[in-house]
Parts: sequence; structure tokens; C-alpha cells
Amino acid sequence: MSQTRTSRENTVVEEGKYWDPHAVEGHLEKGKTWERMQIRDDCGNMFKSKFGDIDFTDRHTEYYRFNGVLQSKRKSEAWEIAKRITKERGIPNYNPDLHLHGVQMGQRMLQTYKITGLEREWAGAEDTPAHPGWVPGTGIYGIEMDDVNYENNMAMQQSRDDISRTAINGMNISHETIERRFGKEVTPETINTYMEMLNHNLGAGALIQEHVTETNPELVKDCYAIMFTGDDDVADAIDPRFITNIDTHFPEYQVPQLKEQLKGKMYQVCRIPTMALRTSDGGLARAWVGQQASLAYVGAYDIPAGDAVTSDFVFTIKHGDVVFSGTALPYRRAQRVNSIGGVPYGYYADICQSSRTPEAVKGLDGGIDPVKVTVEALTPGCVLTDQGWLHNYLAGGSSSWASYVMSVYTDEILEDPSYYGADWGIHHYKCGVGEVPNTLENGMQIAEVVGQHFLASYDLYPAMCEAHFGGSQRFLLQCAAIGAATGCLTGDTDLGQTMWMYNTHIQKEHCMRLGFYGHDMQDQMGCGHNASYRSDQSCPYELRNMNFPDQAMHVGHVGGYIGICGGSAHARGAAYCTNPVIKVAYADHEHIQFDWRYPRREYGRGALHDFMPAGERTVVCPSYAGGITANLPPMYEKKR
Amino acid sequence: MAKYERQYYNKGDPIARNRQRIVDPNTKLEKLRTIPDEGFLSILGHRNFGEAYKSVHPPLSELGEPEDPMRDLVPPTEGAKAGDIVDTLVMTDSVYDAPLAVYLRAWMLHNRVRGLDTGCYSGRNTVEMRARDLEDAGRMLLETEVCDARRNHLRQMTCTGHSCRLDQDGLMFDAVRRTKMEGTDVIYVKNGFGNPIDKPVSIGKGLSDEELKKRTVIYRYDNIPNLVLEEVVNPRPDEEVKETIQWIRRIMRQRLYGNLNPELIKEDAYENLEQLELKPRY
Repeated sequence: MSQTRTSRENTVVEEGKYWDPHAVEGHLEKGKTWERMQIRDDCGNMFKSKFGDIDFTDRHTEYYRFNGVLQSKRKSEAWEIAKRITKERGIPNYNPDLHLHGVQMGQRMLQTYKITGLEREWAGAEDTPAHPGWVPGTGIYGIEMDDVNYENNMAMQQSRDDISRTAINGMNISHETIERRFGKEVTPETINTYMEMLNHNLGAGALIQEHVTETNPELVKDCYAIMFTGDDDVADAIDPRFITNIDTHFPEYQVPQLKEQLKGKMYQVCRIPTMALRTSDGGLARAWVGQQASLAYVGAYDIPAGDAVTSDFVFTIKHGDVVFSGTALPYRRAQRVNSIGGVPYGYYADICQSSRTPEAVKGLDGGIDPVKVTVEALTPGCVLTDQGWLHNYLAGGSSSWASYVMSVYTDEILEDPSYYGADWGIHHYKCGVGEVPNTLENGMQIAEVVGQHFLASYDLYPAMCEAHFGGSQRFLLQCAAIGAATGCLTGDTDLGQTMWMYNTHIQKEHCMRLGFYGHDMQDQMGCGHNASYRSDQSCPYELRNMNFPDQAMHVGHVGGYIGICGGSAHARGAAYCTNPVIKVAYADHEHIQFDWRYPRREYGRGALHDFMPAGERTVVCPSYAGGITANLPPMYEKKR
Repeated sequence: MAKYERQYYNKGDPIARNRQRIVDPNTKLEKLRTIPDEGFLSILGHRNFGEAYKSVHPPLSELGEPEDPMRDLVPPTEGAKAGDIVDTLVMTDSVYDAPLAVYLRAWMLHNRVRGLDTGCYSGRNTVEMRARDLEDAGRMLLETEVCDARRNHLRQMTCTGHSCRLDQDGLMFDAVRRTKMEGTDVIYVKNGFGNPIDKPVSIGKGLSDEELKKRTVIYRYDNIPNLVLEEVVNPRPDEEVKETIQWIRRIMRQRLYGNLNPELIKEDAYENLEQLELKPRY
């Protein structure tokens, strides 16, 4: 059941061990506190891997003896590569000696990181398109900050691409049009034919016209079409290769909820090639699918190539019943639909599939574990909204603010107080998750309990305070932990978010500092805004996105909001947070490139260089294809 | 009815009393050291000793100002009168019992000086003022009790270190190593920008850890904490809870009620609002 996996020399993966959740005593009885020694052990192991065998209560250490960037394998490699590039092209490249007028980065220890929580997983061992199978319970230690920089991590980039390239269309209106306007019958057999044709032409092939270009299937092998429905009879009749079976993909208690919402509607989910996003943004997905799906319908149903009738029909596909993952952005940010900046927080929580994993369903006291869902949904939320979106469209630059983001999913530091708060609440209120009355008094009490625990951790363990060397990191994490605990205990997203805001007061008065200049602006305002829904000032968190005025301006928040949305919904026993269509559309982990069930694990594999992204063009590049330039030397050696 | 007197901060515990004393402009700050002019200017890094202040406009007396009641109400600072350039000073404070921390510095400066533009980060304060006003403020920030030689540093750039562990001498981590220990004294060997200075500037001996714990304005769980679990889970009447906690709870509630239903503020209001003659306004 265990294996040791190592990747690069500087990255260590611990031997996996099977973690039996039912082996912990006293966890099944409601009202008992579960001493989460597993998390504290994992936290301790993390500190040892990071700092060595030190006294974690000692506030003194040594500096200035770490040899700058040479202590880092990644940065040393980068320097060697840069020297070669400088020589080849004649223009200087990366040079760590230019840092701080000759003082290299690394005057103190450049920390390594551990991906949180992987040791406590026991499912998800299957192969996926991006990588071979994983031994659940395997830990990842020793990754460097550069490994979780958005530009260096293929898993992060693929998670963004998977959202932008997804087009979801309802099929019922199209079928109705076919039957009424064209007089054709729609049957499971015709739907199967249509799906086969769609999978042929979506990425590569032509269907109804002579002498047109086609695409090398290897370039677009990540492109496919699949469907789902809430109608069991229809689902049973469709070719199982083309359908996401809700019964087999979701836990038993979630299935009726999803089917009741979806009812007899059929949805197709198309993932256009990742490569296509090089030339356009997420808005291309809808247009791409509109075109190709129309052709597939024409081919499958022998629809005549008329004008008015055909255009009415095409309208049903391109516009009539389209579900966007994200709305368009305003002029200032100027992106079309499906952009990660336009995805509502509740949709992000639904895109993350953690709520249907065994760990989330049987993790806490043998029952649902909303904290797990919170921290898993929070991770891609932070990566995509902070690193992928706000970094690119708000600030620019190359460093991608990984430091804010990595603090939430590394080193066990977020999970410990979140579980502490949940455990304390279960014990104190003598009820289960999602059952604590959602009063302001209870919320403030939970916030203060988690807040004092977190602040004490930073004060009593200086190494932990050094691990989160930025106040913005500490502020983000404490807010997220408080919001997570409150949302998980009460099942109330807004109360969880409001207690996030309350932490502004707690932490500010405790240590007289928060985050970067303006970091707490939306939190100060949120204290009041959360209690009053006005068009430009407030909204249910599930329906907000990065267009939202307060949230469009600072990093270090939105990922946490997403986590709280997901966790609170899970605590209420909900199968989805906001939109069941989105929930099921991203449930096909066997096909989609990024496994949304375990985002932290995926990003960890990206850090290990163990994640194969889609859209690679090697097959048509010279060295592979043996084209006419295959035998030429590398570009920079040839003077042009 | 009691006369309203501005309190600046509460005095419910030693940390809060330290904060109140610093923020209250009527309190004279204890001077701990005198830095010679030449040394002070060299570590500030903006002008050389004896050099004139740089200007962005002629003195106001030469410029001539239009008739404006606001200009009459708000007299210019000395630097504004002279037309000085606006300069920046950046201070970093350790989390380990520093006698001043980020937000408190901003509040202190707002109450004690004029012509100030300050920013609060997590690891630093930026203080932007007219050049000669900045030097006056800088003297206060570096020579008085609000600056410990080892825990509060002048760093114009690359300020990482406020939350890092201290080195063996109790100094904050500084990538550029602007400060060093010489015996028991802390000396600046580089200016705030990290450029070496000709003559190192001594700012004296740092306070002992015990003295810092008494003077600090930061609640800590290895000294005096703010929130204590016992007080949270076994709520006592507000009067028995630390006043700082009372205030943060009140502010949170009132902000929320103000948006949710302002009528609820009346029910939550304290009795002394009546004394402040605010009740009729609700």
C-alpha cells in the first residue's frame, strides 16, 4: 500500500502510509472532542523538514550563512540555465547577483514547503489524463517556493485552462427544435450518434464538408464531449462512454439532490482543446462548441443546410441554453465569459469536487468533513483568483504572489486551527457540523476561540511565525480559519464570512498590524456590507465574483471566500454550493486534465514536475516531427 | 453631565496603557538617545550633512497664495512653507515585544505631527512628509522610547524581518545588514537604502527583554495576551473582560447593526451615550 516517490533531488516525498480514519478512538460519538494528533504530528514533521531539529519555542536563530541562492536547488539550476541563455543570445538573463545591489536572496534560509493534508487521504488512486495513479497517503515535503509559482507549475495553469475551455449547453431546447422544426425524432440512439460525431469534430475532424482542414488528434487529445442528465431512464440508454453517471460519481446522499434539480434536462459538457486558449480567452469555448455542435447535429440528424431554420437551430446551441462557468468582465479587465475573473465564488466551490470524495464524506467523526472541503476549495480559489487573476490583471509582474497563496495549502498551518475550531464547536454546542445556531453571538464566540488559538500559535512558536513571514499571510490564514470554522459549524456562509471580517478587529488589536497597505480594506467594509445586500456593495458570497467592487482590488481574500462557500454548503448537507449543473459538469475526473477532487495533491504533483499539462505541441515541433528544420542546431547558436 | 474628554485609547491593562500613553499627544515621550545630526542624516539617506533641503516649489511667501478660508484655517507646516520635497521614511518593527508597532505608529504620528502621509503595512510603516518635517518626525521615531535599538529599525527598502526569529544578539533579520552589534551597542553601518556609510552611527544599547515586555504595545501569549480562551468560552459580564476586547466586540456589532438595522444600535448602545448627548440623535 505504500511507496516512496522522489522526483528532483531537492524534493522529498515521504513513504506513504495507509491512514485508517476509523482507527481513532472516540471519533464517532457526537459531542466528543477528537484530538487531532494526526494533524499535529504532521505539522511537527513539517517543521522538522523545514527547519531541522530545533526548539520551536526558541525565538533566536542564526542568519547570513546560507550561501544565498546556492542553498536552493531550483534557483541554482535557474542560474546555470540563465548563464547559457545569456551566452547564446547575447542579452543578459536572470542573474541573482543583481538582487539588492549584490546581496543575493537567501540571507536567511529559503524555506521548503509541505503540501497539507495528503497523508490523511485514502482515495483517488486512479490514473488520470495528466499522470499515473497516486498512492493515497503519500506526503510531499521539501518543495520550493519556485515550484508553486504559477509560471512554473503546470497543474496550476491547467486548472485555469480547464475552466476556460469548458462549455456547458443544455440539450433539451436543441432537441425540441429538431423535433418541432425539422420533424426528426430524437432517441437515445440518435443522441449516441450525435455524441460520437461531436467527439469526432470537436477537436479534430470535419463532418459535412469536402476539402477542409483538420487537426492532428495528438494536439487536441484533451478535447472531448460528454453529457449528463437527472433522468435515470435516459442515462441508462445513453452509451456509457459519453455520460457522467451521477450515481457512480457522487455519494449516495448527494445523488437525489442533484437529480431533483437536474430532473429530465440533458446537458452536454464540451472541453475545447487547451491549445485553443493560446489564441483566445474563455469566450472562445462557447463559440467553438456552438459551431462544432451545430455541425454534429446537422450530421447526426440530417438537418438541411437552410438559412432561417438552421439559424434558429444554431441559436439554441450558441445562446439558448448555455451555462457559463463565469461571466464576462468589465471593460477595464476586458475578458469574455468563462474567464477565471468572472467565475462566481459559489461556482468555484462547485467546480472543486472535494465534497464528493470519501475523505469529505467520512472524515470528521465518521461523518461529513466540511473543513476538508473548505481547505480543498480554498486552494484552487487562491491559486486562480490571486495568482492567476489578480496578479496578472491587477498588478502584473512575474512573481505571481505565490507567497500569499502557498501559505494556505502548505505546512498544515491552516488546517490545524480550522479543525480546532470545528472540534471545539462540536464539543461546546453539543451538536454536529452545520447544526450550531447561526447567531451573531455564536459566530463571535467561535471567531474568538479560533483567533486566540491561532494567535497563540504564532506567538508561542516563533518558527511558525517565521514560516509565515508576511503579515498578509498570517492575516489571510487566520481569517480563513475563523471563517472556515464558523461556516462549518453553522452552515451559514454569510456568518462565516462576517466572522472573517471580525478577525480584522481581533488581529489588529492584538498585534497592531495586519497585511499590506489596503489589504484589510474590504474586510473593514465587509463587517457592515455583509449584513446589507445593496447592488454595488453587497451580495450573497456565492454569487459574487472578481468583478465585485470590493474584491477586485486586493489579493489574499477571494480564495478564502470560496472555501467558506464550499465548506458551509457541505456542512448543511448540500450536494452542491450554488449550481448543480456546474457541480456535475466538472465531475468527470477520469477525462478532465486536472483532477478537481484533490486540488492540493494536483498542485503538489505540479510542483514535483509530475503533472502533464494538455496542449503540448511537441508532436508538430521540429525535433519530434523530423521536419525540414529538424537537423538545424538550436536557434541561439545560429546568427540570423 | 461629564465633559467629554478625548481618551485616545483605553487603559484596561498594561499593554493598553502603553498604547494610550504613546497615542496621547499630551504625553511627553521619554527620550532614550541623541543621535548627532550628521549620523542621523547619514542613516536617513536623503541629504548630506550641511546640504540644503531640496525644493519642489518656491517658498509660499514668494509663491503667493490665493484668498482661501481653508488656507487660513490650516496653516502650512515649516516644510510646506519652505517648499521642501516630500521624502519618505520607513520603519520596521519586530513582533517580539517592540515598544511600537505599525498601526500605533500611524495613530501616534497623526496625533503628534502635521503634514503627514503614512501607510501601514504588516512589516513596515511608510512616513511621507516634507523633508524638514520628516526629519523632525524621524527624530521622534528614532530617539525616544518608541524606538528600541534592536526591535525597531529604519529601513527604506527590503524590510523583511519583522516576523522572523531574532538573531543571537536579539536583532531583527535584515537581508542587507544595515545594523550590527558592537559590544552591547547597535550601530548602523549602512543607511536605510542599504548603502554603506562612511562613519557607522551608534544608537546605543537595546532594552533588556524584561524591560521590553513592560514597554511593549503588542499583546503576546508569552507576555500579556488579549483574548484568553477561558474568557471566551465562559463569558463574564463585559465590565470584567479586558476593555480592548469590549471595544472590538462593540465595534463589530455596531458596524453590523449599522448596515443590517440601525434600530439595533439603540438597543446595543452603552449608557454613557446619554451622557454624551447622543441619545436624541437616534
